[in-house]
Amino acid sequence: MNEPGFVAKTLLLTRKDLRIELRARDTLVPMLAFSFAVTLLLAFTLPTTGDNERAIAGASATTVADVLAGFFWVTILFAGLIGFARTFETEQTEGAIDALLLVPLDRSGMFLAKALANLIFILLVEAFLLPLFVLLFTLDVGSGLAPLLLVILLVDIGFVAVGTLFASVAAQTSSRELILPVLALPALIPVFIAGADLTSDLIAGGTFGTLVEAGWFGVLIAFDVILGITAALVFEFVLE
Amino acid sequence: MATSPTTRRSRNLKLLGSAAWGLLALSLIFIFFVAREADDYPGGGPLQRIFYFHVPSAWVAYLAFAVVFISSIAYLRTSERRWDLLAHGAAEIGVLFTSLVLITGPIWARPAWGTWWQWDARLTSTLILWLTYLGYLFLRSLTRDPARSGRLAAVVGIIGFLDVPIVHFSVRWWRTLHPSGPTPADPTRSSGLGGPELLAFFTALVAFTLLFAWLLATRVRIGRLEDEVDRLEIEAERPDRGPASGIPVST
Amino acid sequence: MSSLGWMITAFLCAGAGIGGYVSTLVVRERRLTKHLDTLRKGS
Repeated sequence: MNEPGFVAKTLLLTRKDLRIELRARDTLVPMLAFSFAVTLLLAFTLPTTGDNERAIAGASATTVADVLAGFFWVTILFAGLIGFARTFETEQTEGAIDALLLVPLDRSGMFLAKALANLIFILLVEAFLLPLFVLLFTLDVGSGLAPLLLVILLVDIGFVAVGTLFASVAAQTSSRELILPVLALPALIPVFIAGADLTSDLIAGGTFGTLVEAGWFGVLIAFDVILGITAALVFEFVLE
Repeated sequence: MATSPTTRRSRNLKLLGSAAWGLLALSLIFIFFVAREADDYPGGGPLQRIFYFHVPSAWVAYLAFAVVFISSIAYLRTSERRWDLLAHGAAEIGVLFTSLVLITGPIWARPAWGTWWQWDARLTSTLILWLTYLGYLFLRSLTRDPARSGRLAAVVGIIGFLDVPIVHFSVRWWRTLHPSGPTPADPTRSSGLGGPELLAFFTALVAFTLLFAWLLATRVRIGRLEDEVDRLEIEAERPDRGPASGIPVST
Repeated sequence: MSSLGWMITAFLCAGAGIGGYVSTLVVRERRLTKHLDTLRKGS
């Protein structure tokens, strides 16, 4: 009998988390509901022009781009934290953590499995939110769509790495929901400033060229690589 | 006459304390009576003397967080209680000095720049640093089991410190992309520090560093005393079982 | 406020911060030592 390899086992654990979510629907649904409600609220607060040409009356195109990019990422940030806080919910409440720890897999693989599940959740939220923004704010992405998707993926990697690690830290304490944002928000500031700024450039008509030239792009990649690897390495000390 | 290690350690601590406080007193004399006042540009004059304890505070804050980082790694590798005590103490002192930086900075900036706060790279990264380690201390206050608290805090201490350079570069770019308001003048360059000023500055820097060492040693000693109290209390509750072998519980 | 006034304010704030922390350390150490003595005598 062949024992499945590292990748196969990791994917198996991710699939387990996704299957639990598919049955319980207690993580993704709140995330989507939250981001929908926030987007509607934001749409109501913005003074729109009559002809819907621009999302904010009297504002320049770059201002509109800045504001929308900020809205987009702040919504993702909070929707993500809501979902990530539940990363270890099943393990904690059902006592399944012991079973999980018995899986003959490296702890970094366990981290990867959890992070991958979170990545899929956040990508689904974005797949819902981006069209919603196009619809409600007459956002014109146009030729910037492909680079925008790249930016979204890069932000997500850093977000999920730090979010999953700190969720595992928070799960070990008495006040899980409270400590996760307190720890994660300061650490995530660079990714989200970078994401918002690059997104704003792309909404305002940027292309792949402007993306690569921006110093932010380097920040995003540096953050993903440094914090992603470190998070996977220190994860084993959290689950002990 | 043989002295026990504890007495020797306590004597060394006293020696370090007197050196730190003595040098601090000396640096105050230098700051207020030796260093000449810079020209009366905005931010100059008597106001410029803030620089002599603002910058050493920032130095101590970064030093303290570096100590948290190194001790956190050492703690995860060895599980030795002393590294955890060191990291905890350094984080507390780091937050204290970051607070001092964040208080004295705006007091200088208000008359010098005309505004309390600027979203400048240094200011922003210091603020984020402060928030990060407040979260670290908050996390430590949540868990009573010292081994678990130490492990979790070490993870946060490592991630938080690695984030510092990224935060710094990111806010620098962000700042460059969106310049607004007056540019912060570099106090060292624009005031042209001469010999007496450099003397005052470096005396203050050494004094603050010694003060940090003394505070940290004292804080670690208090942590040890707390461990000892907890150990004795557990022992007193279970007299039949003899000395408690469990890990001491700290606050 | 004058330049001198701001400087003194900043100086006092820094002094209060360091002084405050040192005094909490001293108080804690004294209390712990005392507590430790009673515990040791009791056992």
